[in-house]
Amino acid sequence: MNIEENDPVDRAIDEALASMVGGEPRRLSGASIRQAAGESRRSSLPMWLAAAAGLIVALALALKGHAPVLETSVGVAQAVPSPAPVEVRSTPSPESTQALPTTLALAAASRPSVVPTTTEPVYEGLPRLAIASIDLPEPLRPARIDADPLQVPRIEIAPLAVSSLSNEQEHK
Amino acid sequence: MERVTDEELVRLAQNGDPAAFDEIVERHKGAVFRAALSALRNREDAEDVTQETFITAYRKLDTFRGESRLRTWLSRIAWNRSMDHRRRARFRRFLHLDAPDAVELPSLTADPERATLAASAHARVRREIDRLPENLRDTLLLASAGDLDYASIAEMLDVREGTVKSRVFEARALLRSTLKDAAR
Repeated sequence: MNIEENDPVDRAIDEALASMVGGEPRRLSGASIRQAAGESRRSSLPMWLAAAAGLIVALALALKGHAPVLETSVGVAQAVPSPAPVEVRSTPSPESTQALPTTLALAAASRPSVVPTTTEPVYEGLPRLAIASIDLPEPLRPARIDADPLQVPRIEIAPLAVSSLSNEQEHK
Repeated sequence: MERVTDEELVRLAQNGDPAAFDEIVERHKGAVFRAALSALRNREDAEDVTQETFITAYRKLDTFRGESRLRTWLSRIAWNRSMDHRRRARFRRFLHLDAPDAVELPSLTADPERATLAASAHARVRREIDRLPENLRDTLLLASAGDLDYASIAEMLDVREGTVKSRVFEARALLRSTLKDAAR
């Protein structure tokens, strides 16, 4: 590699290069590498597990959100009557002449009505929440507000005098 | 394990022999470290990269098909890691406007005057090496480390062998001319 071995400049370059790229790593062995590789693999495992669990939960929530709502009996004293068929009175588009009101009426009619069940079978025996009384805040009365009188500063306007006009204006 | 070839060691390690992998590390850690040091010029960073290189090698040993020499394969991993490290460091400097990496200087010995002169001359040469264009400096340092021949360096850097030779020649010529000009 050396072109001019005896040249002091070349020697200096070689020495500097040797000092820059010489030496051995101090803290490294096969066992430490294997241990580090194993640890980093283990440490990455819970991340995958957490990510997978998160995905499953998100998927479950998404499916639940899209699933048809099942009407369950939850101790309602009176069932809410199903709404009357809706009729849309708007100018029908040329494509759907009488279709919309009929569809809505059919959909409403086919919806299962809620069957009333016995009162509070689910909550029986459970402790009840006691809600403390809430004192209403003192109502705000407009009479309490003392309005400051509105003061308009006096504006003095000097009377228009003919003498204040310039000669040129006068001439016009 | 001393007389076992690299190919044999790889085969044993691929079959789960930890002692074979330990021998691979012992045999090549110096070369890998010096390849990283050529790129980073900082021992701490080079040690980190050496460790990362062998961790990667441990995980990807199954993918090694023996198309290149084991040392070249390991050095190439080290080189790619070093380049990532260098890019990150550059980006950090760009964000924080840090000072460039400090050049490691040799410690002063018993004769302070002579040592100071030697150290200042040495530091000057190192400074000039640092100032070389990156492609010339990288190739020169890799060749100076002495672990890889020109063909392996060419494979590592993804250039032709002739390019490696000409870069080394050019880098040395540039250094020689700069240092001689400064000495006048």
